[in-house]
Amino acid sequence: MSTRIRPKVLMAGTAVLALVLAGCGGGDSAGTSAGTGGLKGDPIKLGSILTITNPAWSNGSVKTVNEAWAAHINGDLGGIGGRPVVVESCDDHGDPAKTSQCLNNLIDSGVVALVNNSSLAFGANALPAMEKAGIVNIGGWPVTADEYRSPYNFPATPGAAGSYPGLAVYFAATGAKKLAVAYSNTPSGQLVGQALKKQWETLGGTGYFMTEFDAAAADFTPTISKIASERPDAVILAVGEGAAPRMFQAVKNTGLAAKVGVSSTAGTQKVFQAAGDAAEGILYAFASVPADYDSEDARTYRDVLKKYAPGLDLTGQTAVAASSMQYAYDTLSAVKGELTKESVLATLQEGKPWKGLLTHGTDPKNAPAEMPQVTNPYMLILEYRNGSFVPATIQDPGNLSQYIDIQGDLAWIAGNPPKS
Amino acid sequence: MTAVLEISGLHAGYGRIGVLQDVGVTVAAGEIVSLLGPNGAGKTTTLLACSGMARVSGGDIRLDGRSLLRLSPHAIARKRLAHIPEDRSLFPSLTIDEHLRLCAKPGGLDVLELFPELKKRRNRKAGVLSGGEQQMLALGRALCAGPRVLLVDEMSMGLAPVIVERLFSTLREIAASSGLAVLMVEQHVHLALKYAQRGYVLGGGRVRTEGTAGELAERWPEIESSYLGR
Amino acid sequence: MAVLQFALLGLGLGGAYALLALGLVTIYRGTGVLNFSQGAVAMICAYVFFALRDGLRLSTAGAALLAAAFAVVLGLAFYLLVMRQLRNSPVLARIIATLALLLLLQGLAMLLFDVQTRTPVSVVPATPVDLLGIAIPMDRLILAGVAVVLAVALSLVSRRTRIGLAVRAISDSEKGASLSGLSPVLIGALTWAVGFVLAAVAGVMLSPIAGLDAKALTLLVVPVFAAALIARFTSFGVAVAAGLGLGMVESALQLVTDAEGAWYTWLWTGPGRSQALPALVVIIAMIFSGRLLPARGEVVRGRLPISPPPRYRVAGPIIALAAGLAFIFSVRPSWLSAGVVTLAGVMIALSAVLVTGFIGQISLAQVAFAGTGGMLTALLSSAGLPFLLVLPLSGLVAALLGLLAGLPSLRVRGPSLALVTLSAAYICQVAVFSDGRLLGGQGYNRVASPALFGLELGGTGFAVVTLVIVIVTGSLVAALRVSTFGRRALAVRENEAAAAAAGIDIKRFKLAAFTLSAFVAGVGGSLLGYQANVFAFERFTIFESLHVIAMAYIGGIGMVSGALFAGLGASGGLFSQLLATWGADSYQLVIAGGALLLAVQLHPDGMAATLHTIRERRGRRSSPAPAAAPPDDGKDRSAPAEPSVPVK
Repeated sequence: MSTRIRPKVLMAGTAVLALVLAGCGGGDSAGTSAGTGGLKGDPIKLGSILTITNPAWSNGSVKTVNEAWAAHINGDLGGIGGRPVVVESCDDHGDPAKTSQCLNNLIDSGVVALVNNSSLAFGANALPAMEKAGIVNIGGWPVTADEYRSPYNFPATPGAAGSYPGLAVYFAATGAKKLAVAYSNTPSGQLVGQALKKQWETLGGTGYFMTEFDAAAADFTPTISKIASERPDAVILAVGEGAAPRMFQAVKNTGLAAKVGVSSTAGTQKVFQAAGDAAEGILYAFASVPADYDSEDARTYRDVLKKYAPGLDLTGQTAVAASSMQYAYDTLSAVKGELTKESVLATLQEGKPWKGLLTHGTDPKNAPAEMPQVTNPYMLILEYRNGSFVPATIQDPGNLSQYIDIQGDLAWIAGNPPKS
Repeated sequence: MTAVLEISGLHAGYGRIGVLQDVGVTVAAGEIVSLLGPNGAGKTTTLLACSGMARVSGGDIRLDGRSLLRLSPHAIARKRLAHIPEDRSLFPSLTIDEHLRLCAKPGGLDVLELFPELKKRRNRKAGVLSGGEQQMLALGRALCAGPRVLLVDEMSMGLAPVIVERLFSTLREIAASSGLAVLMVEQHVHLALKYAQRGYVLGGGRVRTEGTAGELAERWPEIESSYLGR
Repeated sequence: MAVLQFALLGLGLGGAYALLALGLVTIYRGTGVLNFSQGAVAMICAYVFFALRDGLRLSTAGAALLAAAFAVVLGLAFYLLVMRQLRNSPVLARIIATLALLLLLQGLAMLLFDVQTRTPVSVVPATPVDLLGIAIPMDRLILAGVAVVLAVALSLVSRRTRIGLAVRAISDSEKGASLSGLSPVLIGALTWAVGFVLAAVAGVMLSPIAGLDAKALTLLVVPVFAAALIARFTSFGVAVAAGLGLGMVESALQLVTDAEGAWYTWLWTGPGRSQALPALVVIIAMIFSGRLLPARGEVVRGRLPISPPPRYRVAGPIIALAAGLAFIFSVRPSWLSAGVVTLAGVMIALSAVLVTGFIGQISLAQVAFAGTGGMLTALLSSAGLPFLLVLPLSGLVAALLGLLAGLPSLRVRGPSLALVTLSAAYICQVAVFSDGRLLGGQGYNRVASPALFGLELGGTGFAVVTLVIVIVTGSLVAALRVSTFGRRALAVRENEAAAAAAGIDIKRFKLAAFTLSAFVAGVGGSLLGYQANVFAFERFTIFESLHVIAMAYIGGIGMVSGALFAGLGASGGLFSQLLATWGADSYQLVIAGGALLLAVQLHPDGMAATLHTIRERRGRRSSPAPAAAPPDDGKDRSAPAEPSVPVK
C-alpha cells in the first residue's frame, strides 16, 4: 500500500505547488493600456470592470475610450503629478462569478481606484466586495439601487436612474396621461418598473401600466401587443442594444401610435442599421450632448478620440466614458499628498461639485434624496430623425419646471430632482 | 455432406466473462441440428456468437467457408444468416405487413401464404398478436429473404403443442426443400430429437457429446446422468 | 384583448419551439439520445448561413445549400465520432456528450463570430398581416406553417418509406433491427444528420425573430423539451402541435401573469410566470404518466457509472487539509477567492455525487438547491442571524426543497427524471431567484460578513472555515459510501426491484438521498453567498447545474474525487482563475466543451473511475488467473467461474 500512496501524494503536491506558484506570481488580467506618453514616474493604476463578451450588452467601446483618454492624459496633460495613468480593463462576460474574479484580480494588481464600471453584473454581485476592499469607482453607468447609494460609488452621470425617470418627466411635460413601461425580468428591471410607477403618480399622470419581458425571449410581439392594447400616450422601454431592433420592429408591426422612449444604450449605429425605419421618431435619453455638438468640450472630445481612437463610433456610451475619465483625472489631480485608495475616497467625500465634460455638472450636496451618489441626475432627451439626433423640445413645462434645467439651447431633465 | 455452417474451437462470452470453451458444431444444407443441455450450458451463447452478438475470443465461425468473425450483426444478417432470438425481438408498434416489408430481399418466400393466420391479421401491430402468431411472424420474418442458415432459440417457449408441431413441421419442410441449414436450441428434448437430424449436448460451456437424433435418443438416460447431473 | 388574439401572437414563439422539437424527436427516434444541444446547433448553423449570405454575399439559395451541408457534416461527425462510441455507455454519459457539444458550439460561436446580438434580415417577408383584428408579422405565420409542413413530411416519410420504417423498427428494438439486416449505425447517422438540418432550418428562420447570438436559441431548451415530451418523443405531428400550443399559451398567459397582484396572487403574477409554464407542464405530465419517454429495446440497457469504495479515507482528508492550508496562507487574495469558490463548488458537486452517483437518481437541480441556500442566507443574515446559525438553516430549507424535488423520483427515473429536475430548476431560475419581491432591491440580497464567535472572519479566516466544512462533508460522504446506507444505496441503484424484494424501503431511500443532497448543496450556496457578500442569483442557472453535473461526471460521479474535479472547473474557480491569469478567458467554453467530449469518450465512467479500473486490473494480474477448465468429474458446472476480485 505504501508504494501506492506516494504517487498520488506527489501528484497532489505538484498540483498544489503549481497553483500556489501561479497564485503568488505575477500575471495581470486582460487588457492593460499602452501609451504612457513617455512619462517616467511610477504609473497610477486604475481598474475598469466591463462586460464586453456578452450578447446583450457590450462595453467594448468603453475600453477603447479608457485607453484613449489615458493616452490623452499622459501625452497631452502631462499625467498626474508627472506620473502616467494606466487603466486595466477586465471583461467579465456578464457572468457574476467572473465579475468578482475581475475585481479581485484588479485589487491584487494594486489599483488605487476603479473607473467607468459599466458591467451589467457588477452592481448586483461585486459591489459589496468593492466596498469591503475600500476602493471607489469613479464614473461609469450605474443600474442598480446599490450603485445609486453606495458611499464608494461616484458616477458622474445618472445611468438608468436618469434615463427612465427623465423620459417620464419629458412625457409628463408634453401632455401624456397614461404611461406604459416594459422592463427586463431581473430585480433591477423590476426596480425600474416600481420606481417609474411611483414617479408617474407624483408627476400627475393618471394611468400606468407595466409589464416585464425576457431579453432572451424568442419573440417580443406578444409583449408589445399587450402594451398597444392598453392604449398608452407614451411608452418607456428599458431595453438594451441587443434587443432594441426587434423591440422597435415589434412597435412598428403592431402599429403602436404612442411616443416611445429608450436609453441611449439603444442608440447605436448597429441598432439603426438593423431596425431600419422602425427607429424613426424614437426618443432617446442621453446623459451627454450629441457628438457633433458645437462647444469646446465637444470639440476636445472629438479631437482626443480622433487622435487616440480613430474610427471609433461615437455614441452615448463613449461620451459618458470620456466624461468619467475626465472626472477621474480632475479628482485624482486634486488629491493632496500621496495617491492611495483612502486619499482618493477622502477627496471624493469632500463633495466638491464638478463642471462635467459633455455632461451636466455634478452637485454632491444636492443629490436626490434616495440616491445620494447620483450627483448629476440630468439627462437630455433627443429624438432620432433621418439619421441624426435632434433635441426634443418642451413647449410649456408647467409645474414641472423644477425638474428642468435650461442651459442655453439644452434642456436638461432630472427625473429625480435635486434636493434644492 | 458439405457444411454450410461450421463452428470450430469456439471460445466466446460476454465482456470479461468467458462462457464457451472450444465448441465445435457443423450444420449441413437441409439439416436440422439441435443444441441440447441444461440452463447456462452455453446454448444461447453459441447462437449469439454466430449472429455477432457475443464476444468471440478464439476459434472460428464460417458460413459457406467464409468467416463471420468481426462482422457486425446486421452485416451477418445480410450474409443470409437469420437468427430468431428467445425473445423474438419483434417490433411491437409495426404491423405484420410492415415487418415483412422490411425484408432484405422481398420475394424470397411468400410468408403470408405460408401462414394464412398472419395474412388474416396483416394490419395488426405485432404487440397485440398472440404468442403463436408472434412466433409465426418471427419465423416468417427470418425466412422471408431466403437465408442459408437459420438459428432458432426456444421456438416452443410458451406455445400450445398444436402450434409447436405446426411450426416444426413447416420448418422441416422448408429445410428439406430449400437446403436451409437450421441450428436450433430446444429445451424439450423429445421435440428436439423428433425434428432434428443430429444433436450436440452442451454442458459447462463445452460440447460433451454428439450424435444423430436416434443415437442420442437411445443413450439419453446415460447422457442425463453423466453430463447433466440428474 | 381576446385570449384568442393573444394566442395567435404566440405563433412566433410556438413556431420556434415546434421546429426545434421536431429535430429532437427525430434524433431520439433514431438513436434514443436526448440532444440538449439542439438549440446550440441551430445557433451555429444560423451563424454560418448569415455569414455566407451577408458576409460573403452569396445568394440566399447558395447560402442555404452550404449551411445545410454544414449541418449534415456536423451531425454525421458528432454521431460517428462521439455518440456511436457511447452506445453502451451509461445514459448520463450520452446526456453529457450533448452538453459538451453545447459548450463547444457556444465557445466556437463566441470566438469565430461577433458576440453581440444581431438582428439579421429575414429570409421570408415580414410585413404585418391583419388577422382577427391584430397585426402579426408574416414571418411568424410562415414559421408556424413551415413547422407544420415539415411535420407532415416527416410523418409521411416515417409511415410510407422504407427508411422511415427502418427508423421505427430501430426505435422498437435495436436488436431486432440488427438481426433483420438493418444497420443501426447507418440509421443513427442519418437521423442525426436530418435532426441537425432541422435545427439549421429552425435557426435560420428564428434568428430574425429572436435575435442571433451565442446564447439565444440555446436557452429555449426547457419549452422545447416540454413539447417533445408531450409528443412522447415519437410523434412529429404532436410535437409541432404541442410546440405551437405551448407558445400560444405562454403568450396568452401574458394577459394575467404580468399584472402586479396582492400577495395571494404571487403564484401566477410576477416575473417569469409565463416562462415557467412549460416547465410546470413537464413536471405534471411526467408525474401523472410515470414514464413518457418510450422504452427502447437496446442490446445493452444503459448502465450506471461505477461507484467504487473510496480509498485513502484517512490519508485523503489529512492531505487535503495540509494542502489547503498551505494554499490559503500563501496566495494572493484573488486566488484565495477563486479557491473558496472552488470549495463551494466541491460542496455542490458532492451533493450530485450523493444523489446521482450513489443512488443513481439523475438530478439536474443541484444548483437550484444551492441557490435556495444562497437566497435564504441573504434573507436570514440581513435579519441579523449569525453565521453559525444561518449556514445550517439555509441547508435545512434547501433540504425541504430537496424533499419536494424527490417526490417525482418515486414515479420516474433515468432521463425522465433528468427532465423533471431540470424543469424544477428552470422554474427556480426564472420565477423564484429573480423575483425582486422576494429579495427586493432594498439590499436584502446582500449578505452580511460572516463572523464566528464575535470575531469577523476575514478572507483567510473564512477560507479556513470553508476548507474545514468541505473536508468534513467529503469525509462524511465517503464514509456514507462504505456504510450500510451506502451499500443499500448501491443496491437501489443497480436494481430497484431486487432491492425492494430484499426489504429496502425504496421510497424512503430516494427521498432521504434527495433531502440530504439538497442540504449539502444548500450549504454550498450559502458559503458562496458569504464569500461574495451577496446573493448572486444569476449564478444559479440551469446551465450551471448542467455544468456541475458534466464536470462531476468527468471526475467520476460515483466518487468523492469527482466532486473535487467539478469544484476546480466551476465558474470563478481555480481553473477559471488560471485561464484569466493567462489572458485566455475567452477560450474557457471551447476548452471545457472539447475536454468534456474527449473525456466522456475515453472515460465513460469518469476519469477517477478509469484510474480505479486500471488499478483493479493490475491487482488481478498479480493474483493467480481464475476460470481454469472445470474438471471432468460429472458435476454440473454450468455456471461460468467468477473471476476473483479482491474485496476492498
